[in-house]
Amino acid sequence: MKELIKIAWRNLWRNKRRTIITASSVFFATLIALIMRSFQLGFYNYTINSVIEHFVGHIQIQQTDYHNNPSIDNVLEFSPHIQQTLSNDPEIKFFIPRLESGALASHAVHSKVCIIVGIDPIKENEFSGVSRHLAHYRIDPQAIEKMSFLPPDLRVLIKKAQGYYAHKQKLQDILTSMDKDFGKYIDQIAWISRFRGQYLRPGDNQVLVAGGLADFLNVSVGDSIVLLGQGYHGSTAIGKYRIAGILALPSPMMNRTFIYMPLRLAEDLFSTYEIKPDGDTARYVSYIAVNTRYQASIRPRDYVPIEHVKQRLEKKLDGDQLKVLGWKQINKTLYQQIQSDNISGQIILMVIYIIIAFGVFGTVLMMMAERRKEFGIMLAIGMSRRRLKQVVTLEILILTLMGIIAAIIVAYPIATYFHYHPIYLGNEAAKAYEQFNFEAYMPTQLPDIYFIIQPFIILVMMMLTSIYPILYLSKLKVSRALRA
Amino acid sequence: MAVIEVKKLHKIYKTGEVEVHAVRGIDLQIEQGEFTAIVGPSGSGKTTLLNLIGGLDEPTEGRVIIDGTDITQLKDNQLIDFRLWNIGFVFQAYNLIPVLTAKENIEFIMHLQGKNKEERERRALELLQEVGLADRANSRPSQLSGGQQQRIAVARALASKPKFVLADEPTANLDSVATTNLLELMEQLNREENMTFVFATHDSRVIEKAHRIIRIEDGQVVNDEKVK
Repeated sequence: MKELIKIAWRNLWRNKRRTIITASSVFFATLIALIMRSFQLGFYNYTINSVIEHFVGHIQIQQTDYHNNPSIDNVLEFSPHIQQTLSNDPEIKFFIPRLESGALASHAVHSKVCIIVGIDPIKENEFSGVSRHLAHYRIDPQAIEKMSFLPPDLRVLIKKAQGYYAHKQKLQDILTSMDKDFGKYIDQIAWISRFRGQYLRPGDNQVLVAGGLADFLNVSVGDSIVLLGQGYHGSTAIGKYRIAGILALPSPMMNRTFIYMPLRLAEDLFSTYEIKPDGDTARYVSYIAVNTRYQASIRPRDYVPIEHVKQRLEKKLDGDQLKVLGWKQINKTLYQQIQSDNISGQIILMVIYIIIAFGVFGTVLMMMAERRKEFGIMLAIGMSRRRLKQVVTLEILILTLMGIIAAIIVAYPIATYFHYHPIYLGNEAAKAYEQFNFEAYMPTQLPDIYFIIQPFIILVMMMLTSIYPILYLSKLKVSRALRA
Repeated sequence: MAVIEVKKLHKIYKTGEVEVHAVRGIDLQIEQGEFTAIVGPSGSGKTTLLNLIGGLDEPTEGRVIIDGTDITQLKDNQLIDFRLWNIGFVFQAYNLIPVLTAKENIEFIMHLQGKNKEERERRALELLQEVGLADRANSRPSQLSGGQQQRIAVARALASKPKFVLADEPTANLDSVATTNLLELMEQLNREENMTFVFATHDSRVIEKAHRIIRIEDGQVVNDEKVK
């Protein structure tokens, strides 16, 4: 085999330019495939991470009808049995109760329909990290007025960036995506636009309002809002609450509608509790979000252990008039959007692979035509057809591996860099993404198994082109080849 | 026993509707140690006969028996293997493997035979000495003259220790000095190692050196005489 590899290697360099061009086409195909796939998987996981891991949960336990009719009447009791079952399951990392319902939020002459989320402030923060979204910066007309250091064009432009920001980095990403010159003034802008607010405490009578909603209602920290809605079993839910902080939530839909308040406060607002005959109080929640110790991702195999936990909970909690749902059932639309995007991405990659495979096939055709006589000589002097096929296959294999390995070496640091420094897509793209409730960040997936799978697919595609020389050499007539 | 025995050999090529009878019922025997030239005008069937003897082409009819083996009965793989161990080839255009050096070209045949590295190297150096090109062992074919390449081709043909060497127009691309040197080399090998050579040629310089001349016209032997 060593001798055959030597011949194959030297054969490749007989026509250096052709070899370099062909290997380059494999290199670019693999590089595009890896980078594209890296961004695709990175974006899916980023979305799943922000939506599923940090909000919806891997699994939800709901009252039987809640999924189809998420009304305040379809709540379930957050019973000691459920709490114990979840606490005792070794594969469950975390669970939190939430009470959600719609209401009308009003301040002065402004009113808007909102979603009230009753949370356990401490547990919720551990689960979804709500406090990470607490706004620390606000770009508003008053702040812009103070930014006299900005050139006139930037002062006009910054008006488009009005709103709340939790982190300076996000503020910087958005401003520099509009004009790179904002980078020079970012520290001054951040200082002028700094904003105060505080996260909820368990016994608080205060609420957190999402930035978009706060802007609409024209409220800020320290103001009060009135919430009016329907409570449990037809009761009226009404209350007036002070705003403790403003949230800059990643999902635009949430940012336009959400109000967080402590679970006990929400229970009081919606009257979702009952005194049982034995004197105990039954407390009701909309659902319990559960995270397993596994990772949610787009890959089907990552869902398997989550599904196992879900099935186990279904058995253990059977008879409690409740339903256990996996994240794919709860967020069907998100899952289907990702799936369809994933499939279309894979089709694009497949098309690239096929184009490149035809390019390599062209090289193989030329190689075979040019060397017909040489093959005849080799067969004449006693080289078996099998060995001759091995040489040609080795040539294609080496050519492909050169391209693939070079692409992996180049793609690896790129995929790693953009994982930790995701691309912010800028205002126009951001709007398009916001329509689907995604934040416009494009992180990559750190290199893992897909760095093997994609090159392997390319390798297989390229090796398919060796079918032709194999058939060609099987049928080659020595005497005719010698006359070539 | 004859090393090469050809019995009632026919070869018909079909080109569309046209049939070309390249070899018409040739019978001949070549003994071990002969230095034979198959001569005739272009298109007379010399190369076809040589190809049939070398198992490079299948006869339409007849038999080719090499050292007691009827090679027309062998399957493709068996035939390739048979050629490897029994027949040496020298072609008109040298046809060395361009990516291998002179020494590697000679070793290559022995590598196919599965011989170990030491044996391959020893025999390759011996043959390079014999053909007078020991100093060009590491040159690629493109770095050698036509005459030098053909001498390496002879060395390659002998590397497998074949029963005979078939040479198709070996001097066609060589100048007179190179031709003389090559013929002297082959004569020497014939004389000293009793190696059988069969040439297809119309080069008078080769014909002059031949011990036996088989003249072919229209695919038939018209004259067969031992001249030395």
